[in-house]
Amino acid sequence: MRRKSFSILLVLCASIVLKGDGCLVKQKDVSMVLAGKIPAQWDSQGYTQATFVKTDVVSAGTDVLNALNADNLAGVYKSIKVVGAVYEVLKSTGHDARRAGTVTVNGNLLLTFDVPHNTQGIKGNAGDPTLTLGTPGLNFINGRLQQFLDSYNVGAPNTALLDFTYTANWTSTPAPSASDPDAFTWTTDLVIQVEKTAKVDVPNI
Amino acid sequence: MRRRRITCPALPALGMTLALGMVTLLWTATAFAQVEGSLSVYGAANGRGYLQPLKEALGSGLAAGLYNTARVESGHFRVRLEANAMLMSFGSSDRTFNAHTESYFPSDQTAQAPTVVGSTQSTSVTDPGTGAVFTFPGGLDLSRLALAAPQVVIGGVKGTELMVRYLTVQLGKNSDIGDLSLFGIGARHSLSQYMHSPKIDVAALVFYQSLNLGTDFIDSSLLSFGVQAGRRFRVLEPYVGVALNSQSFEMRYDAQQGGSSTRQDIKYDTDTSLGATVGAALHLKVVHLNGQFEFAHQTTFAFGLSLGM
Repeated sequence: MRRKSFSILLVLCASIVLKGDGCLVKQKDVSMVLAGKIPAQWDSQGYTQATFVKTDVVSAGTDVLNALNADNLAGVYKSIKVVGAVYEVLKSTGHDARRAGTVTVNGNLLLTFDVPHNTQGIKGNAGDPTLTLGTPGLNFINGRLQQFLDSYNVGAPNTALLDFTYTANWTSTPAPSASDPDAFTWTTDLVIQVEKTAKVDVPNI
Repeated sequence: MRRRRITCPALPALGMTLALGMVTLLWTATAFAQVEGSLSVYGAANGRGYLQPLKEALGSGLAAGLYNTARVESGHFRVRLEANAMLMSFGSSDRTFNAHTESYFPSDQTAQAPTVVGSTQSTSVTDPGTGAVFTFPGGLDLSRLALAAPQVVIGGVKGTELMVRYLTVQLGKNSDIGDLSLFGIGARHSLSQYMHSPKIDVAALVFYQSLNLGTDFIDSSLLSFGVQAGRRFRVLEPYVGVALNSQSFEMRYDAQQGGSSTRQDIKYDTDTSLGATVGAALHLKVVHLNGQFEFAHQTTFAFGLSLGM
């Protein structure tokens, strides 16, 4: 009798845990967001002109693939997009100059900046007044990223879509000179988000 | 010669209770490990809000199921092996938090975003100036969280007993998160032994526990001071208790903050709060079965099965 009562109590306790549906684990589609970046670096070592202009091709294929594989979860990629931008002065020796200018991507305005001091370690982002994200460049890169994601999703990733032609130009105040040339390196990074739906096993209690 | 088979239905039941709790605990830990990737979009402030329900649930769960009687025996040595499972329920306020876009987004905007136990669906906001869209990740859509704790109680000396909890679970070689471990040690002392003809049993408790997930993903500890009172009616013992619980909680993950990946070390302020317990136990000689509600940050239901005197 006592043994029977005990068994009934045990079943009651277990049923509370199992909720009656008999399955402890349930697979759910979870909308996950991963972060990544597309960096570009600008180097004006020895430059003696007030206005700096330089064009570079930035291949973002590796950076984007890193962002897509930032976790080990299988899932369906929904979107990839630029959500912001940051900059950091990596090296600055000699005179401290104010630098104001733009970065374009394939001719589309991407960044506008006006940084009053450029000592080594200075950082800023699109959330403060020193850096503004440009809609034409943003739309251009987001369009390319989405095209790349479409190709990735069908198993034929086209990394050529992620080769961007960046042009940076800025004016330094005071201007550098032959006796006091620019010794300045800085990086501008686009912060990207990857949204995917992953199947995650979660406890069903 | 006929061999007599000795059976004890409580032993497999003890194992089953513990296994049930451990399986749910394992899956919970694994699920949390899987959303670590989503944490990379969050800096410290958002990460803190996203994980707040997990912190509170662990605190509530660790505070529950520490005892299944208010009586602390005296005069004879006793050992009891216990299996406890705790179920913490989440409320609607646990499902969202007031999230802010990160600093690299062109404008500071807020949204009611899912916490780690909230909706599986993400939430987005759009910057009106540029059209940039910031997406806040979804959660795991959990109604409850489970903890399991095997416990050994050794006592009988001057109305005092020693309690030890220990559990370690390997989440697998392929897990990014590492292992899970729980260690707790505490003592209870009978207060009713100092009373003249006590009508009820009264005991005081002190208990320290630490729970670690991964090498440095989650570190949580709880220090509890409490008093319990109960009365036995043959095999049935209703009991109540109050406790002061002091919880510390620290979590670390890599976040993409701006251009570089930075290690986020989120250390919550030590949280001290009162908890109340209402429960009942069946004492069937060497088998003891109990269920109790713990009222703290979250309401926790704990049930346990123990063998011993």
